Amino acid sequence: MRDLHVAGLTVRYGDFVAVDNVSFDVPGGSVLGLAGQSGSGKSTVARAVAGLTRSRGTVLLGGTDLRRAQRHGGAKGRRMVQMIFQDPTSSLDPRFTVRECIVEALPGQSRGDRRKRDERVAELLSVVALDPAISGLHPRMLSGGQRQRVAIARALAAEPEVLIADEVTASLDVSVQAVVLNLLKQIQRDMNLTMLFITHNLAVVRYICDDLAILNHGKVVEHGPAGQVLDRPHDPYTTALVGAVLRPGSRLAKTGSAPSGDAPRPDLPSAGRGARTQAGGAVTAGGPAPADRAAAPGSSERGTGGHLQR
Amino acid sequence: MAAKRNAQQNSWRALLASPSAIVATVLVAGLVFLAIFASLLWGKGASVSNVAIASEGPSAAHLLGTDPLGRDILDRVLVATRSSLVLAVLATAVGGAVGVGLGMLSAVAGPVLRRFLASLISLLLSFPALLLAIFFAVIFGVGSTASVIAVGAAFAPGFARLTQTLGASIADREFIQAARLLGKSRWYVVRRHLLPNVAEPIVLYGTVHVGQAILVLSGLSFLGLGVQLPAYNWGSLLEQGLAQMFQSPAGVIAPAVAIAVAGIACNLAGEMWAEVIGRPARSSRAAPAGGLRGPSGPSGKLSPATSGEAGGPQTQLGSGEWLLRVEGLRVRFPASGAEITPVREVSFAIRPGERIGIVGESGSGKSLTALAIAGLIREPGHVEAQRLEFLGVDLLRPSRDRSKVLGRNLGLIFQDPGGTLNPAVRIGTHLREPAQVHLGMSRPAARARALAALEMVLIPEPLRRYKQHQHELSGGMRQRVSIAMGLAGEPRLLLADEPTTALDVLVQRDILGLLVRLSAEQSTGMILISHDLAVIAETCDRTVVMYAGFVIEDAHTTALVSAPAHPYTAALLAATPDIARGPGQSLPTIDGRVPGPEENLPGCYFASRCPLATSRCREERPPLLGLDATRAVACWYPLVDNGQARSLTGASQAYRGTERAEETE
Repeated sequence: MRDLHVAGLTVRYGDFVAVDNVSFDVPGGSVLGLAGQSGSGKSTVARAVAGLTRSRGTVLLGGTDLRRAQRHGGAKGRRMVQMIFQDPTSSLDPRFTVRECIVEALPGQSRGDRRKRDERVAELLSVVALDPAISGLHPRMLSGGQRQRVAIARALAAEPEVLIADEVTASLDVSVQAVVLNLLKQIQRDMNLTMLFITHNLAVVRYICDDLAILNHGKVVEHGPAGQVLDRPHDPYTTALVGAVLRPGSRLAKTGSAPSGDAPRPDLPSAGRGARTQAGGAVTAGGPAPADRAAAPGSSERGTGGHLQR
Repeated sequence: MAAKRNAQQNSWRALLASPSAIVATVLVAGLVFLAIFASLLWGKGASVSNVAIASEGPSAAHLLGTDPLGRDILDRVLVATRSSLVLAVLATAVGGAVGVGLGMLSAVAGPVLRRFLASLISLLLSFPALLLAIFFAVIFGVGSTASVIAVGAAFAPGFARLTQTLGASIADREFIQAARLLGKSRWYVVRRHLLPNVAEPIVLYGTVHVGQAILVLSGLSFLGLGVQLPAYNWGSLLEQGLAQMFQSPAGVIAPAVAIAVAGIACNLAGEMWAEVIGRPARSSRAAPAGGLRGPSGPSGKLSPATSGEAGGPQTQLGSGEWLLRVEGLRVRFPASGAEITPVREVSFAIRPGERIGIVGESGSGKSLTALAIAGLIREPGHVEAQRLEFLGVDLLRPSRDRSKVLGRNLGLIFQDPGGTLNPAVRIGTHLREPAQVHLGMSRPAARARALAALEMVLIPEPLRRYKQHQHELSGGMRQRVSIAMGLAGEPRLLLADEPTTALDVLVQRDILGLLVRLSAEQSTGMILISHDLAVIAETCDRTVVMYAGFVIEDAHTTALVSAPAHPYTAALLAATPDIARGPGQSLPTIDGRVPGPEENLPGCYFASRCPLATSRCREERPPLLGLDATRAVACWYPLVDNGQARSLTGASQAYRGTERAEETE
């Protein structure tokens, strides 16, 4: 996998500088998180790298000028970078079936016969842990999580080298977010994809990103290994941002005593998390669950937990 | 697919029962029949002249009389159906093709061409269609071809504008960007993505315009610019009849009626079509996942209920009493086929000054619970409960007391602060007017109060903000204003539905801190609804967990977070990302899906996703029972087991205990 090299990336809208001289490198097969508040320019960086927005600066994939390839390299040049968007509802054409969405993205679809294409669609759907039987459905018949997985399958169908995930879990429920994040991480590892992961939510960063860049007002204010940036931030803005992330146990840990009349409480930071992990493990561990799942009435969502749990 | 086809069939069937649809169908069928067969059946009477019977009045042989050449007027009107309709359809098709082409071009064009096309379309739109048609008729000469082209050209700008607007809204969607990322050509994007998505409204527009075209073409013919002799259509019949109007009025009335009937038929058919294509889209929430957004329609129209009835005294309560008691709350909506029940059984209670959080994922019914409490579920929604009391007033029956207690003592804050503020009204007015209207304050007093409210929510430069409009404020500022509005009447209970979901983390922390501080200072009770357990843990003393329309756990937040009792709570907590966790870890997930609001299960609604579930769970629904002094859980096998689950002593169930005691006395 080739390295993604971005240098001096600048995007202007009139007089407004949305992205100001942003530079970063993403080693091939690794994930860079781009985090910041709304208006920080993180999505604009993503769109510029994908070639959806006019920009200045250098964007190289290996030695190839990515923007030249996107502009003049035809479909092949375009396909090198694929994006997954925040809203899975508007990122799938409501008139298309799941199958059509994916077939559209297959390279050289005009070659290859129908059976071959169907096989590929089934294969891609199983990669994103969806039942190939849903390929005839329209997006509106799917849940938000299923739609987002179809969008991931479509991006993968184009066989990209760089995958950009733009707030892909921001409009999903917590439990669905977990499924999509795990899936994305697994696919990224299995296919050794280079990935830009755009998020406003720092809590999800460590699960998926190797490195993390923090953007503020269009500038990178801090960039380093994800764990280091989150645990020992140098920039005051990063410090504030990390400090503002809420955790289910944080305030309770800060304020100390619980309201009177409570049962004795184990020391939270460690024991609390221990209990949660244990409980979570109990809920998701295989056991008799698969049979139950299969028996669930009308359930069209295939279990993803089993082979994703490591 | 089959479901979609069925839905479409159903809506056709339902529609065909309506009177206007029956009329439309009959009229359109009649017109088509006449267009095809009229010249075969009545062609002779319409074309063979017989001077012997010229200009006769109505008779048995000639129901509407004859024209100056002795031809049957009725026959001629019927035969003219074909030319009138065919020309109208052709003209509309010409207009549609040119207009849609222009509109699509402008949807995919670069900025310069787009601006030029937009101006061109606007310019053409400002001329009336008939005037344009006359203008074009002069250029192209007279005759049917010319008039078709003229009317088509006159209609094109309307089609172009519609296509441009619809296309622009679709072109912004991400699936178009995804297609661009795949290197698809513009022509491909237009053909595969844009056109199919704008086709329905355009076809609809076209159907209605066939009626218009009949009118305009008749007008042109009437003016002598359209169809030329010996061909004729309704317009030229009208013109010929005009000369004889006083001898044989039927010669004018018959083509006029025909024009009117055809126009009505096209309009009705257009409406009918709109109904049919509109329906499946609206009922599309029959998706497998329990997407509840559909029936919760009223949420879009909510206004902040800061208003209070004049002089409505705040009900006084002892501190030991309940502020709000909800028992067995159910919210039902009629839906196509069966009824849906997004809120199945919700029970909780809140003491004055207490802050509780309601957490749940989509489909849990948490927002509808809030709307039901606020009395904002509208017809055809139906709210029922064993008890729904706020400050001792029964909220289930509409009464003067009810609107008083809700208006005066309940403050509401919603996710989208922009939606609660009227964009045309100044910030200050939003805060000042309720005090003037409902509390009868003078304008200066109300103004001072409003400024104080802005200061209370820590808005810098309140005087400047007071005079501004909502678009001049950031999202966080707007939410502060809506909090100020929610607290303006000094309510006893503040109901905040996802108040920070649309905000950035830094702003979120400030807003949550503000809510906690103000509710503590004013000893206002608070119900905070969120999908995010971390937000609730930050702010609330007690947490109520909802799932599939049930309360499944109700506990002190500390206890809930450190050792959840319900397997769903545990799973939700485990699936919540934690900034301190990772890397190399994957998040525990919950397999399966939430049962939809249409499902009716005998047992626990989480059973199909729960690893601990037994046959008992699937057959018998666990009631919400107090587990210890701090929590109640609806589970046969709670994860926290203090021996026997004790009877009703849980946090919000205590009142049931006291009630029983009273009953036995």
